[in-house]
Amino acid sequence: MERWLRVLILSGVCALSTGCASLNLPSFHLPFLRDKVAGAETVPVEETEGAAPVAASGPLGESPSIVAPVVSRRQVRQVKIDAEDFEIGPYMGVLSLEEFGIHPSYGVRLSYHISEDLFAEVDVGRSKGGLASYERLTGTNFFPDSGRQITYYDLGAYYNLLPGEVFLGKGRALNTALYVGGSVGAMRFVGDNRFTAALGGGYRVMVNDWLSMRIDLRDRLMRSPLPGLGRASHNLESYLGFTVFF
Amino acid sequence: MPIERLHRLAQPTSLATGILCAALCLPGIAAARGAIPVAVEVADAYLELHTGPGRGYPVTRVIPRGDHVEVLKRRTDWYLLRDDRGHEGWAKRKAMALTLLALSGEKPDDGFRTAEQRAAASPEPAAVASASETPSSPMARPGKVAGNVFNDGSYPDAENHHWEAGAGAGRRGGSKVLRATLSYLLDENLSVDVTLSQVLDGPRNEDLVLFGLTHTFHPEHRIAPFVTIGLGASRLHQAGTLPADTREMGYAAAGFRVLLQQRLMFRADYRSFTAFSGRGNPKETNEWNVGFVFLF
Repeated sequence: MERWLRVLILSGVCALSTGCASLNLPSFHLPFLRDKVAGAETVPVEETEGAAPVAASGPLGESPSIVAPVVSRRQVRQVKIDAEDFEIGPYMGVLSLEEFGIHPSYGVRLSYHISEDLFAEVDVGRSKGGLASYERLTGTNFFPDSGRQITYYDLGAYYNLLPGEVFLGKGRALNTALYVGGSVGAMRFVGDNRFTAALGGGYRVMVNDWLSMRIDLRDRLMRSPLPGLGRASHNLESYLGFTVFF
Repeated sequence: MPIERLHRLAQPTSLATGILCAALCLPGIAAARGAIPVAVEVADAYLELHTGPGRGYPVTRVIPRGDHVEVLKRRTDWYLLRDDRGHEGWAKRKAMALTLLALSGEKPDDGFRTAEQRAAASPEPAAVASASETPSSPMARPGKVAGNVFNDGSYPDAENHHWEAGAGAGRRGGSKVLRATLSYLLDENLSVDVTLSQVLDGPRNEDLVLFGLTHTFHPEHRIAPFVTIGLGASRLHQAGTLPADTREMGYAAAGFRVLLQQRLMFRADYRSFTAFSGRGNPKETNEWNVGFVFLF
């Protein structure tokens, strides 16, 4: 490791230590300490339920009747509005793997809506590849059949570019959004894992306020599995799926 | 995540069964979404109800001040409201500022605030008590609204969010690196992280799992530097004559993050890994990585 990097890291560790020392335990947000954080979960509210006369002796031996409030503490519960920022659902489609043919694909996806414009998504899918054109021409199997199953995952971010509506007849309008974005991930094919970068987008039609239908198109770029081809291969996938917001 | 494990999980029968189960569970998930709606009185001059949770969707109804609405759900910064005639529509959190203030004693804020800043900015307890004095209405449900403090789900707030998730890509030597990280915030400055990473398209593929402790300096600033130290393990795949191997390793990192939106950050860092065990070289490797982190 370079010397400057060691110095940088040691400086960081020193700073980290001082940060730990300055921790203020009552505001330390460990779950078991959370109850101790004033107002974090519950807000005690004083409530006067009544008043009871109490006889008390004054300094001069008088006994004036004063009113001492009877106060009981009421625990105020936080109400959490049902938040639906996550979206999950299966999809099915076709994957066109360059040189290896077109085959059905299927998978599941989980999205998290960061804002009205942006959402992050994880896809996990599966498909298969056929014989490469070279293999078909020569009649030889360059790769074992068992390795032609494809498993991929993607971590991406998408932007709702064109929100809008579609109209079904006279009295029904469904919310829609055209989104575009990109992702990075990995694909396992013919016994090797490859880095993939995907560009694409899709169209979401909200059937109601929690169910949506989505049509997607992706171009998954990766290093070509064929030896000797040093270029990236473009693998198009289109799929249709349903998702539920929760 | 080791994609081999994913590959095994994703056998045709298991993945197809999983997808079928997921499809069958969709109505169940939808049914389980339900929460008790909260009835509120509109305190803003008026509320515009949009047909969808976005600024571009048309406004179909306007609720005047003093009317009562039920808050059905929230999606990002939008609330689904139902008025007393049963009409539903979405209103933006910013447009409901006074309504939320009357209920929660907190004004929605777009900036990142630490606990101290939040405490300093919080109103008098009387404002909180006003939640219990919400006027009753035909829709109001005594015992549900009254006495409850409204959580408007505003972000990001050091007291309101404890989790961060992120993903990124980078380079290590001649290889490409993918990384997914989940962090739990112990404090405004300190967080514990678990990272799954894959090194691909290089001399040797590698899967890593890392556990780290991150200290962020001045998290309240839009641009905040951080340092991380941690330990982990790496599994090197077989490559040519080189057999598969496992290594324990330690790492240190330095980087910065930039708050882009309320719940989204850009993050870049440089990491230095030192292997404690395993065969072969290199024992020390360096990696840079850029990506995005969101708070939830």
